[in-house]
Amino acid sequence: MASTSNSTSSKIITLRSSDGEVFEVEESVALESNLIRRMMEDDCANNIIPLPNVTAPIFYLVIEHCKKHAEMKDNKEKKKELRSQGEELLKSDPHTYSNLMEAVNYLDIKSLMDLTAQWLADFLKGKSPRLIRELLKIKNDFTPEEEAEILERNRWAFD
Amino acid sequence: MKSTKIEERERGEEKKEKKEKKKKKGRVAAHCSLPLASLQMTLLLLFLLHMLGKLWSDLLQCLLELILERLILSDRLRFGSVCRCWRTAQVQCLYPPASQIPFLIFRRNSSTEKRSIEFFSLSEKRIYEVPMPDSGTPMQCIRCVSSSHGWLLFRTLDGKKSGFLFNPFNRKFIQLPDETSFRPFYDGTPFFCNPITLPSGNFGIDFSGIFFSTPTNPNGVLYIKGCHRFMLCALKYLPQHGKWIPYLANMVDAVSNTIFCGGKLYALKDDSTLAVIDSLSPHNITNVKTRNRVYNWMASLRRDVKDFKYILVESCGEILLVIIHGENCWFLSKRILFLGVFRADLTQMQWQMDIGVLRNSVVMLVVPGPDTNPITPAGPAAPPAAVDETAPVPPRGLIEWNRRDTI
Repeated sequence: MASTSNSTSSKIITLRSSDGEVFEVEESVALESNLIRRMMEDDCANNIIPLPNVTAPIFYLVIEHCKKHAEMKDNKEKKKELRSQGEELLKSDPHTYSNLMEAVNYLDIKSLMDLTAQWLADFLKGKSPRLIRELLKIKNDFTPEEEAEILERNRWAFD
Repeated sequence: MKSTKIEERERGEEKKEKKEKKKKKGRVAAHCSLPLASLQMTLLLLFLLHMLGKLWSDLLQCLLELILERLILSDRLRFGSVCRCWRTAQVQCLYPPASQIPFLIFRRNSSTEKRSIEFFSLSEKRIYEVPMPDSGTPMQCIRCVSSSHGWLLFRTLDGKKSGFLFNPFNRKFIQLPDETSFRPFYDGTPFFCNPITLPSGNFGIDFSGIFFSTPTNPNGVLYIKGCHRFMLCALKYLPQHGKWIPYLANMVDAVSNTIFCGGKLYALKDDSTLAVIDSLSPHNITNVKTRNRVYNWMASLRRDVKDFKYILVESCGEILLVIIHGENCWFLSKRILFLGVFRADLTQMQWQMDIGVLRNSVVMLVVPGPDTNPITPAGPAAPPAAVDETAPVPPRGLIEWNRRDTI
């Protein structure tokens, strides 16, 4: 792990996304990911770390969020900025947001997992199922009978 | 999970290839000059659009649970009716819903015709309406008297003198035994301080109780209050008769104040001792006694001042007795209110006057109305709720509804 890092702060780690793009990331940022940390501890990250489950645009987002998150400690404004950015993404491109959540989960970045889940939970608050489907572009795969039964069981929550 | 996803993607790609071939055939016949690259692009776009509807519902169970544990009950139910995958996640999720301020139950005058109760969600600042089952009693004769574990205890005020339990979330309804079933446990002393006013044969049972444990648990314990006495009663379900009967009961004398906290019932007797009753064994009663110094103080208060009030409150897990008394001050020609606060020392079973340790915590006072019990939420004291002034909270008749462990 740290055996090779003589220069302390700015060690650069090279990562490759599933579509072949290569990223160079500072160690401090990359280590937010428990997956990369484990790979480095096991010493199977000598050259380029391959990330077969993450595409380049998503990975770019993850790094950006990681950097912001590292900066945001004790900084309320940065926190707000990051939050509004996350919410903006959720509104404009929910598809990418779901990919982002999966990538963050795959890379095992605990702090970002909590943040992305919290943003989505806040987004869902008080919204009807129909509105949620519409905004997140989810297909309703219930049969009409099933849907009626679910609604009937807890009718109070849906009015 | 991951392997199945990869398979799915591969299948998707196969489909894509097939589509590509089909389209190629068609288009090649029509326009041979169409550039191949743009064709691929449109196909890719089509494929992406097709995938778009699927991806949210493909989200891993652990991620969906991460979201679910942050949602309160009502949001959670709505979450579960978005699509099948989310439904499965909601049903299988073992995390309890995010904690919220208890709902307030109320009934508006206009809604007496409707068979429903309304509750106000302080977290969401909105009103929900829950239909009531038809128990045969008109709505005007039903009163919700207490709540516990998501169950509501209703008392019927018509001739029958009975009560029922209703869970608005799983819609279960349980009729409680009527007052004749309690007769074997009755020791002859009337419940009410003035038995003459009661019709003959009626010993004044009043279902203004606290329901301790969930009815699905065989240790359901009902607390039935008279004017100055109360009866603690364990209930048992008889499946062959399809009804609940009392099987164990205990009477406690001369009680002015009761609260329920952390699975125990605290009842203040007239001589200022505090009876502590475990809900699991209602026969076992221990008493918090009054030390001489405290007793003298309390007794002197009683002798000198006619106008005083005992209020038992729970604050941060401590049981406090607040004594309020008013005195007319002749040289100020004003009434002055004095407050005394005692803490129940539950290790030594004594009242303590020293409440220095509680200096930083908030004491919640619930001042009882003319005919209501002081009701405090179970568990540690809930933080005072910040209510919008504009929020339509009805001013009277509020009952706190603690429903943290339902579903």
